[in-house]
Amino acid sequence: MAWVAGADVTTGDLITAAQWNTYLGAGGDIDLLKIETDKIDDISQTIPGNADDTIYLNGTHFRLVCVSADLDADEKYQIFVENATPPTIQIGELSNGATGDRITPSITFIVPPGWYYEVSTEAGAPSIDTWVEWDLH
Amino acid sequence: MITANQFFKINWETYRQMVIMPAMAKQGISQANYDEVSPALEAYVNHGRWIVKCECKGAEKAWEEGWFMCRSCLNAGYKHQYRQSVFPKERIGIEKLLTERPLLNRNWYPGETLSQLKAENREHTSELLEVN
Repeated sequence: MAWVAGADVTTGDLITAAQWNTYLGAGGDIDLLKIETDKIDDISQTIPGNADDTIYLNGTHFRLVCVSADLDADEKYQIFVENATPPTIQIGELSNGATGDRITPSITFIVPPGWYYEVSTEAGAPSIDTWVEWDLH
Repeated sequence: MITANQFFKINWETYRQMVIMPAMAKQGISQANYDEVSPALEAYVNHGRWIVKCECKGAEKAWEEGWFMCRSCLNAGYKHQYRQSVFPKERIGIEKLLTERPLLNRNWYPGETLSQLKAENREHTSELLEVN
């Protein structure tokens, strides 16, 4: 056990005000945990019809974005997510090889509240196949 | 470190007769036998108390006599029998090192060595108590 450890309660112990208030009092840990958990136990789905090469701004919730794309040989999308515009942090890509047949891969990524995101053409002329978003709240 | 004997100021047998037996009778549980077969529960130190913890998450201060009855479940997983508990072989060394610490930092769990306790004491020298 470390230098610091939480207190186990045993028969005969007095529960101090500090212990109670830490976990169960106004603003206590359990209270705060419930508030945080309630933030993400609901989701709402949208199919926004978003387009490639367009910068989007997320709203006030964490957003899951799932995009699939049609890629012929040598075509590539890069996905950027950042709290700045234009977003420059690449978090993934969808790409096809030099001699590949058409493929339709997908990627799911998360966008924090208030961040920008873009599915950007890097090579060739790929096209978006599906674009679905879920907001966690 | 505080044991159940020091805390309740009685021995195990007195506690068993005065506290545990009436509690079990109130729950309609016939008097318990002693389970001398199942592995003993290992005592550990938490905030300056020797504690034995039950699988149900209940915990009791450890008795010197080495018997354990969980007051939360009355050892339901073991047919309500009294279970064995054991202190570590290094108990004296552990207590000596923990006595130097403030109460909230008197913690030891099975697997921790005396060297680790000494190292922690060295890391927190300014917080240690003056022990005579």
